[in-house]
Order: sequence, then structure tokens, then C-alpha cells
Amino acid sequence: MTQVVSRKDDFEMLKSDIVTISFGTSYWARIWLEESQSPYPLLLDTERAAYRAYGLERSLLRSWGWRTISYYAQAMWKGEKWRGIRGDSSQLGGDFIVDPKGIVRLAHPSRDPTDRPPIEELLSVLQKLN
Amino acid sequence: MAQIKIGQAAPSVNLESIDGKNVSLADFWQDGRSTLLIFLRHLA
Repeated sequence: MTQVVSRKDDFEMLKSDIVTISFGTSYWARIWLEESQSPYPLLLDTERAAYRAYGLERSLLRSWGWRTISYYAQAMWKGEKWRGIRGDSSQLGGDFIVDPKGIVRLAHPSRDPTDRPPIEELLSVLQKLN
Repeated sequence: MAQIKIGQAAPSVNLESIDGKNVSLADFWQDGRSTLLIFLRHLA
């Protein structure tokens, strides 16, 4: 998410919208918006209807595998603050690009919390749709 | 759980904005712009 925020100008140049979706409460959502400095709309999906519609799974095993623990350990080593667990840490996320006709052009359901598409891949797909 | 594939129609779901407004996902792409949907994990 940090990279998507820092590359805001590149996404704007491609005339694309970015929408973030969370199953969290509005209380934590406001705190997250302040901490992340995300300029993008944040929609709340407390019932996880959209998470289900996009096939995003819950997995305790994959959420807390060695890749996740290693990722957090490295982040903390680099000085990032541990903010704790806010909500269901088993719920996995994902990234999807939808074209103006409503067709999915990129589908990346995360296999684990560290599994996000490279920022260049997102920009490349959007560029082709432009 | 069925996963969404490239080329499929994107599901439009009605969600709530942080200000309590009802928003449909389709509102974004029906504006004529491509849309990147980022589903977050827990808000940490």
C-alpha cells in the first residue's frame, strides 16, 4: 500500500481510480487513513460481501506462515512500527483491475499477506487500458 | 470459494464509505475510468 500511495502521480497520469476496501470498522479505518496517508477512497465491507464476491479467502495457516513472519521481522528491523492486529488477521486481501466496461483485467488474490502484485505490473496493465 | 478470473465481469457490491454513504463498486468503472480495487487485510 505504501508504494501505491507513493506512486500516486503515476496512477493519476493513467487516468485510473484507486479504491481501497476494508472489512474493518470505521473507527480503525479512520486511524488507518491517518497513519497510511492514503489519498484514496476507503470503503467498508464489514460483512465481507465484496471479499466473498471476489473469492478472497481466510487462512490462518497462510496468514502466519514463515514468509509473513519474516516480512514483519524485516520491517521492524528497518524501523517500522508494529501496530498490532486490528481485526481478523486470517482474512487475505487481493488486487483487481477493472476496465471501464466492467471486465476484470488483472486478478491477484493474495496467497499470503506478503503476496501483492508488483507496482510496475499494476501500472503496465492500466497503461494498456488507457 | 470461486475465484475471479481475468475476462470475467467484475462483481459490483454496495458498500459504505467512511462517511456512511452507500457506494457501489460499479460507480467507479462506470465513470469511464479503469479502477484498481485494493482489498486490505486488517487495518494495521
